[in-house]
Amino acid sequence: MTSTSAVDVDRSKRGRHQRERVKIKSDHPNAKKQKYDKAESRWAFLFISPFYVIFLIFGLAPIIFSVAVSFFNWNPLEEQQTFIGLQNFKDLVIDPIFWISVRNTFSIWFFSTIPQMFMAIGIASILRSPKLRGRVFWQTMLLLPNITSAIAIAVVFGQMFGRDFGIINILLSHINRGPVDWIENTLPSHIAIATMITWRWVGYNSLIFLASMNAISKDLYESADLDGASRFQQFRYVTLPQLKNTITFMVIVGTIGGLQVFAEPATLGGSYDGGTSNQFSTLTLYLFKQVAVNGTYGYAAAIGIGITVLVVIISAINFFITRRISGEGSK
Amino acid sequence: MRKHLTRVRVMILGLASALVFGILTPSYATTTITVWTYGDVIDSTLVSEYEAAHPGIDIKAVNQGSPAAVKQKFQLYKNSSSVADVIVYETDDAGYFRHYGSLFKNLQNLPGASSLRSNYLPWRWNQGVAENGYLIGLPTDVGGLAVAYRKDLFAAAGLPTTPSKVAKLWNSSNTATAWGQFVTVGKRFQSAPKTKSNKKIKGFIDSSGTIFKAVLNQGTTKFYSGSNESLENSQLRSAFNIAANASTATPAIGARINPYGGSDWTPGLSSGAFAVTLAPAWQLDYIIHRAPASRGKWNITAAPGNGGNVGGSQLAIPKKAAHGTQAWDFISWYESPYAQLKMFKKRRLFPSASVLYKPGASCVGLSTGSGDSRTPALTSTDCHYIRNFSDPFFNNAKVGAIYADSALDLHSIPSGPLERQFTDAYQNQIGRLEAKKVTNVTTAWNKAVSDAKVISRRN
Amino acid sequence: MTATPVEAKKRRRKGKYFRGLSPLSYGILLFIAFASFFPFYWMFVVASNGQDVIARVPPAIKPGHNFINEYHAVLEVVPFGRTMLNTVVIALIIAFAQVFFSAMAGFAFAKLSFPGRKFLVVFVVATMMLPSQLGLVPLFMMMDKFNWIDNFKALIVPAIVTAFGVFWMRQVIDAQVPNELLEAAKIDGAGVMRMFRSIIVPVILPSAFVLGLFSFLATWNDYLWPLLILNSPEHYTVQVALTQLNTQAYGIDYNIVMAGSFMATAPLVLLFVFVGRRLVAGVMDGAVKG
Repeated sequence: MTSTSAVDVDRSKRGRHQRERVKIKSDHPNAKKQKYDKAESRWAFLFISPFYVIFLIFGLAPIIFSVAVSFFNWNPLEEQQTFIGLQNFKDLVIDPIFWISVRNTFSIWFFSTIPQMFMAIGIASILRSPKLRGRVFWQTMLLLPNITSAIAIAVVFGQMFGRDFGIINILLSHINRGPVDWIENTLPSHIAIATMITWRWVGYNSLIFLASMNAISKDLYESADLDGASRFQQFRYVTLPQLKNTITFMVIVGTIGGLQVFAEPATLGGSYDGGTSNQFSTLTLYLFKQVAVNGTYGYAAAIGIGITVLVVIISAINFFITRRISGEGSK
Repeated sequence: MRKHLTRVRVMILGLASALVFGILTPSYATTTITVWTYGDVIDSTLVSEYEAAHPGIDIKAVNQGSPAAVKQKFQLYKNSSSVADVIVYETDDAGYFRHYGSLFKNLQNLPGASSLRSNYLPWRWNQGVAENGYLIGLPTDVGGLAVAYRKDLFAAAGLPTTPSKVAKLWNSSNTATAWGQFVTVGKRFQSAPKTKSNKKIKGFIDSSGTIFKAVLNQGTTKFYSGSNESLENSQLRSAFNIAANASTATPAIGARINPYGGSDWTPGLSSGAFAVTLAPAWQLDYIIHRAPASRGKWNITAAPGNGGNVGGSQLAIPKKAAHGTQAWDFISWYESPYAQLKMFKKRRLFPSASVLYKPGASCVGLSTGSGDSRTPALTSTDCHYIRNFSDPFFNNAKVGAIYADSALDLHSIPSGPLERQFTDAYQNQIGRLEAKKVTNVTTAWNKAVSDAKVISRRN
Repeated sequence: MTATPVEAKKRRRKGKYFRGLSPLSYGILLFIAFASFFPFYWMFVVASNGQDVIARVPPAIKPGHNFINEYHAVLEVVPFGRTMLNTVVIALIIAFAQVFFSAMAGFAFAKLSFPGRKFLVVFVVATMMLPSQLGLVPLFMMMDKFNWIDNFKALIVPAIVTAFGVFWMRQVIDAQVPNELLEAAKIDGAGVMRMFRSIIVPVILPSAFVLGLFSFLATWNDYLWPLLILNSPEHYTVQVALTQLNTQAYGIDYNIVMAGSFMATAPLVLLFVFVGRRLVAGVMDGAVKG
């Protein structure tokens, strides 16, 4: 924050906001001594109840059941299931494929989520310009990957990443590189999967950013302009802080989605194994394998709980990092 | 006002005529038979024929996409009255379903069932007999196994090209020796100087890993001895070694192109990237349709060792099925020699109804499975069709006789609930040897055994 | 670039951030549009060429003449019109319900004070972390008990609320609705319901529209659950119908699969072009308001 003008911009706007926030906070539930407005609380509960009622029945109850399943050797075709206590979890901790899957999941997450976030913000900044021509066209194009059916994606990407006849390797051969074995080798397989994920979701994410960018008041940019802030400074000191909520949202949702990746590795390998050495097996794919191939539902549930624990840890770390980056930490 | 009246009149007339026609049209109380299937097991032409011959029966085949999806759906629905009337399971899962016989109807008790057994390959029939003695499933087609090879590429490498001479290259009666000969031919092929006609070659065979399952099916033991797991038996070890030797040969003989899925096989097929594929009968149809330009370049001969099989399914009726009797009528018709012959003619699906090609068996006069006479009885022409069939696409190879012999050569092999997972565990290690991710065969074997043991312990 | 005084003035007013776009920006958009569009185009190429299309090296890039045949082949396997109608109706119901319930809950979480609020927000986020596949078996048993097997209710009811939607709406309302506006409304004697209707709804409309669109797409793409639940052809959704085209056990009949995919995707593309203006307006709305 060496540029004074930028700081000014920052302060002139955020100062106002912060004052408001402080004012509101004084009658906020978090202020310990505060009493709740009874009528407001009633309304609030009414407003959140549809979500909770339906979620408790159709979302949470099944999951609690699954937690119970994780203590059993649960075979779906048997009438009687055997209680085995923590055995599934003990197995999980020493299961090398589980840990390989953890590694793969993070690697794929890294190669997909991070570039995707930057690309989505970049695309959104282009799309928000009022002078953009053909807006309907661009936005339709951005959503196209998301409505392309999974099987078509499998065919297309199969054609791209084929070792012997894939388009990418044919192109590489023209510059005397490759061929790369996109399935058998660990890192290339992760990159191939990350490419598929990015391709499918980057437009979707740009629209989320675009919707919140457009909610940022124009006044902010005008006053920044008056102060002579450069385009980058405007982005850094006006856009980014205003996108704080959206970025937090995207990082959390992106992490959760990233750690639950399974369609793409299943597509690439054509099975639930994630390659002969599990080189691109992901956590959710491994969970699926227990259900669809092995029929070990108890172990699947244990893996699910393992995934949840990991997501919670990562989200917590993420949450604090994002808060820092988007400026709340400097308060 | 008048107009309005007219409209009312027209409506009444319409309603009345609808009623009259509704009554006049012969209407049967329709029974809907639901089938959960995958791939092309249930053929729409045959279904239409059955429906036409059985008024009031509606066959509703719902494709679940894969054998695993059918299996999972059955696991969920096993106690529900919404379960399908017929489910299709793949032979790789036969051991699994045989373990849970009580979840299915015992077909043996249904009309006409007792006389059917002799019409089918014994080992294929047994894949539908549960551990508790129930007959739970009728066999669909049989994969069989033969070697499909490219004549032109063989010639370019200085190898013989006629089926009988090619078969002689690997005709040892000892399974291991025969496959050893096959590998030697592969090496010879690979060492031949590259010319214009074979410059696109990436390997002798598409995937040397496919040898593992082929050899395994030629034996009498896989992963079970009786009902006990047997994960280190000599036949298993031998199959593993044969496939491992093929996968680690120098020069490498495999192109590492997996024929069952993966995107490189189809382009490889048409561009001549490999000279040999171990082809079950149903795969011939794939070759014909995906590489039409290769017509006349292929020929087919017997595979090394004795016989072979890849693929095939079973049709079973869940215990809770709502229309068990009608479902039985359908499946016994659908898998009758008559219907299986039709599928062979249409799609090269090789019949498991061995009465159509077994030497000495007579199928003349046979009608549909449950003994009704609503379909024409088989004639002498029908009964000689398969043995005499030669395929013009494959240089008039005697496809019928080759697959008949390969299917008749096989034995029943004890199976169990974890067969599919065990196969994957060993197959994966062969794949790693092929990809040179592991070079020592013993290391790969030990890993396969330990992986299989983990699977066994967890179940 | 020589700017006329008028243009210069305009630019000064609009500011740097809203300057005309550089060719580079269009270049980036073009690249992304191409990458997004190509698989869609290629679906048509494969669908309209012969069965060996996939085998050509290098791959075919020109459409053939065979599409009509494949189109009829698809119609023979699945009741396509019925399928599309089913999916659209289900997806619309879910989208509306989801947006509505998410906005309500999001509003409560962002702006209303009540005991246990913080805990409940964290709870919403936490529920997203549980892999949904875990609940499949018990959820199925529930549907069986309710007699909802092979019934649209089994697809709709569990889907009308999502933690994703609630969390998103909370973030949007928290960031975009100024507190002073609500305070002012409160002083004017507006109740919670009025605040929701006349302050929250107009502000969040753009984001709500996008949420609705995404919810629609999610239903459209949903595959595993409908395949488990639906058993009659007349109840198929698009993805279940496309599964019917997997007519080879160990491979893919590329032509019919790609023809089906194309037929399933094309109407949505047209729909986007038609509602595109509304979508653009929806997404751009905030800019006008600001």
